[in-house]
Amino acid sequence: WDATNAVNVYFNNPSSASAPTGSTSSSRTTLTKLFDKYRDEPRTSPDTISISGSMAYFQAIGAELDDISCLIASEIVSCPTMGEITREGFVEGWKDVGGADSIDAQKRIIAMRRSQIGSAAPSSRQMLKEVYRHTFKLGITAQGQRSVDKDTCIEFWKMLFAPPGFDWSTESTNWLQLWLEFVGANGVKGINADVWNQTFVFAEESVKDETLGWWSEEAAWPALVDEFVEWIHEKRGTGKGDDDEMEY
Amino acid sequence: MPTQMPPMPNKDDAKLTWAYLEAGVDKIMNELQDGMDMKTYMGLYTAIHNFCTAQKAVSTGGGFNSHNRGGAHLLGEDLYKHLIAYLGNHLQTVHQASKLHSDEALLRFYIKEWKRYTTAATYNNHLFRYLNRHWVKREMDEGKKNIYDIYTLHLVRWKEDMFTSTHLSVMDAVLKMVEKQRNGETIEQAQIKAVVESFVSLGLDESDSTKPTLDVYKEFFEAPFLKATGEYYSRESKQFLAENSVVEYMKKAETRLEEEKERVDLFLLAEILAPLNRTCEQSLIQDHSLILREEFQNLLDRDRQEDLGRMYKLLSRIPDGLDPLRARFEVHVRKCGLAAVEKVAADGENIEPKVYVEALLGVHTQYQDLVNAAFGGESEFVRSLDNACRDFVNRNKICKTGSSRSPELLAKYTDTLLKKSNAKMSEEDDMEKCQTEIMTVFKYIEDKDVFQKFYSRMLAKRLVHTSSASDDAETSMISKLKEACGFEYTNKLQRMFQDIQTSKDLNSAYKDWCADTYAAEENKNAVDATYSILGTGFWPLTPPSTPFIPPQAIVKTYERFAVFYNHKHSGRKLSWLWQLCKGEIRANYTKSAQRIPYTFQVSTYQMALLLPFNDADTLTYEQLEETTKLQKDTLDPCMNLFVKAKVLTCSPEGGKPEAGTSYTLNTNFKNKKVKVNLAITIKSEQKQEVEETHKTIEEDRKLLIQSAIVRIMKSRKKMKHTLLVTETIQQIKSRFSPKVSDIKKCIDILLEKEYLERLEGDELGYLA
Repeated sequence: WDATNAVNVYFNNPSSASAPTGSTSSSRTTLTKLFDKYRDEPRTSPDTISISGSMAYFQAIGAELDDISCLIASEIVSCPTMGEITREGFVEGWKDVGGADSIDAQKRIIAMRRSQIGSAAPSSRQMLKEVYRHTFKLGITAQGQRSVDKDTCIEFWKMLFAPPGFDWSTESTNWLQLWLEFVGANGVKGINADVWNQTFVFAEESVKDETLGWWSEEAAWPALVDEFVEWIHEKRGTGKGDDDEMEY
Repeated sequence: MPTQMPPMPNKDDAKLTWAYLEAGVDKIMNELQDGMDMKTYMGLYTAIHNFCTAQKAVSTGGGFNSHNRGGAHLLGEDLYKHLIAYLGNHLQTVHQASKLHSDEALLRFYIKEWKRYTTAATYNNHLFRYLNRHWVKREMDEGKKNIYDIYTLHLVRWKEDMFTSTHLSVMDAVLKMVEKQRNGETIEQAQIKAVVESFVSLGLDESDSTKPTLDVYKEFFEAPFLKATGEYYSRESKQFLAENSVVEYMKKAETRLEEEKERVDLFLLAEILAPLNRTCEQSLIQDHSLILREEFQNLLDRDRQEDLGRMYKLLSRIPDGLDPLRARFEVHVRKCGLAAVEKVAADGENIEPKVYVEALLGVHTQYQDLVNAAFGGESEFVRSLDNACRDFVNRNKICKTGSSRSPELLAKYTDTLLKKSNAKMSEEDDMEKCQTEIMTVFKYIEDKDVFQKFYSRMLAKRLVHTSSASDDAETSMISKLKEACGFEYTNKLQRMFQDIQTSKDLNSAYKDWCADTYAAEENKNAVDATYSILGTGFWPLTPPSTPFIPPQAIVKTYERFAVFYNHKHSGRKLSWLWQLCKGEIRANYTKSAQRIPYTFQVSTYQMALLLPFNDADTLTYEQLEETTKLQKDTLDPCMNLFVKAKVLTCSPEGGKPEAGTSYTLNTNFKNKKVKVNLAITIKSEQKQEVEETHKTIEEDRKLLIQSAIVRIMKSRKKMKHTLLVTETIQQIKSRFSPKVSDIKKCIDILLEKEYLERLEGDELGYLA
């Protein structure tokens, strides 16, 4: 994950992107101590911060629960699921971000990333992608679960696909709104990892060309995306079926 | 009066020698009919020989070979030149004379002169053999141009001095004659034939005069002939079409083409047949192909086989002539098919399978006959027919709700055919014919899996209820399906058949076992029963959908069989499909005057509901429910049926089958028949079954698609998405036509189940 590292370094310390990560044993110790502070039940589960602890912690670093900053933070510390932080994820995560070992430093990083994540710059996009992909994991609540409840996904998309996240809209079309309307009305119950990830790719493409001229039924899009495109075409009256009767 | 020959000249005197020779040549040319005596001929021959071998004539020295050769060379040339001059003069005269004639007279003249000239050429060629053999040969060996043997020289001169200036008028005369013949007049064909031959003779290969070529003929005869033919038929066909129908025109064109072919045999070179055909086809067919094709639809509508055949033959002669017909034909057949189905659909919701299948077949048969009779069974037309049939069989008004309607109806039709009740259909020929017809429609069915589903369900019923008309007919149908779709398609059907066969043996073994195991008295009192043992995996049957306590009267019977069976095949589990079991019970209670009591044919469920009335005349709904444990949706229709058939009466009158209603045995039951069949399948049950079948089809399809995808990916490991979709369609096509979106859904499922993974660039990977 070199790209991730590079991005992490860049966002942590833009002025010295090329400088080696200042990982010292002292920052590890400080991070460990910080972790210990937020544990809920140090005796029964010494290496985990669970829901109430992580809520307090996220609040402390300025990551609001209904905001993309929460997803950004979750990705940094690799939350295995929503509201759960492991010691390893916490220490290694912050260490990779250049050893931001104080609440203040971490708060700064979260705020900075939040302000950058929606930008079209390749490095920002890469970061967004990491956060997006990780977000799916947050929705998994049970072992072996392969898809995430639709409503949960809708909440995630709202955070990810609107400023300060990726602005999924074009001149004539508010894609996010349409997508949420479509998914909401669709019969699917859960979104699997593939559909989740492909939605991101689709979002990127739709912003590049809002006529969807690049789309083809033969291409590898998941069925849900295909249905969405058909739905859009119907809505716009650009469906294939009525072409001969249309006058341009 | 033969011309007097001058005296034999001195061999050295060129001038005299030629004068002598010229007289001879002239005699040959103009008076050959008078004959020439041997002496004169020998004299001429000798003169040429002497002249050519004379050495003194021009030689200044002597004895050298080169001089000898040179001398002979020059002397030969002299004679050769004189001859050319002579021929020039002669032909000049002929040409002048020819100007006096025209048309047929010119032809006669030309041919006469030609014959005379060429005969003379043959003689002269002999006469000048010495010159040919030495001087001419040497000249030619040395590669001199424009030196020919004497015969050829004659032809060359004719071509130069006669042909060039007359061929136009000659051809003009020829073409006029041919036109006369085309207009129905009789002509002297031999003349044209002679002209053709003369033109051919003039075709000389410049580099090798011994090889004749057709150049002259092609340029001066064939080309104008074809041009005139084309013009003639252009004119004629336009005029004819303006005054006659297309159908009449086609007859005319056909006759004309035949005539032209005969003309070739009569007086033309066989060589011309191909280009002549092309010319005629252009003027007679190609130029009018639009009008002809316009008429096609008309002829189809009126089913004019003969005229359609004529049109087919005509248009098949021009390049790409038939393609538009095939396209129209396909559209037409499709329309007819759709119209036929529309007619059937107009009769309402309940479509009689037989009527539907016959409607499909009717259209197919009609147009297959047409293809065979009018289009010579041509494979491309067969393909168009197939396309059209496939289309209207799978997509028509009745299939509007889904293409599975056709296979469903076809399977139902097959069922009625193979069922016992169909007494009229017992003739073996008819059965064979009907089965063949079924296979004709089956061939076009896209959803072959749907047919298979319905067929196997109905076969199961026929077998379980022993309502099959004949084992032979069943076997023959299965083997036809096997032939069409392969072993896998009919595997289960065959296994079902086997099970029934095995069951027969098992039942007789059971009887023997009973006789051995139980006392005779006990066997006598036992319920007589037969059993069918059906392998779970092969039969499209599901366990009963309702809990059920079988009536006490049969418990002992089936338990005994279970003992026997487990004894024979330990470890096998028997489950009873009560919903398929049937029995007969005797109604001894009726007050009817009849001496023989009624027998009711009932299902096991019905049996269980009627038998309690042995102990009480009236029972409540709740009691019956309690005794049998049957669920409402099975119980209620049974009760309704009993009331409707007047076996039971209910109170309150017209009461619904529900708590509070009670039922009383109707002792006044009356029926015309002694055996009363109560085990009738109820409409709603049938409908439910159909729906169930469709549902299982959907599920099976998903599985079929998924397993095809996994199979493909397992062997390929990595594959482009589009390629995978195409390949999957390929594999499944023989069973049904999968939609791309369905395949993609299955890919989604497999991605989720992590059988597949998404790789870069639209590629999918297989995860073992």
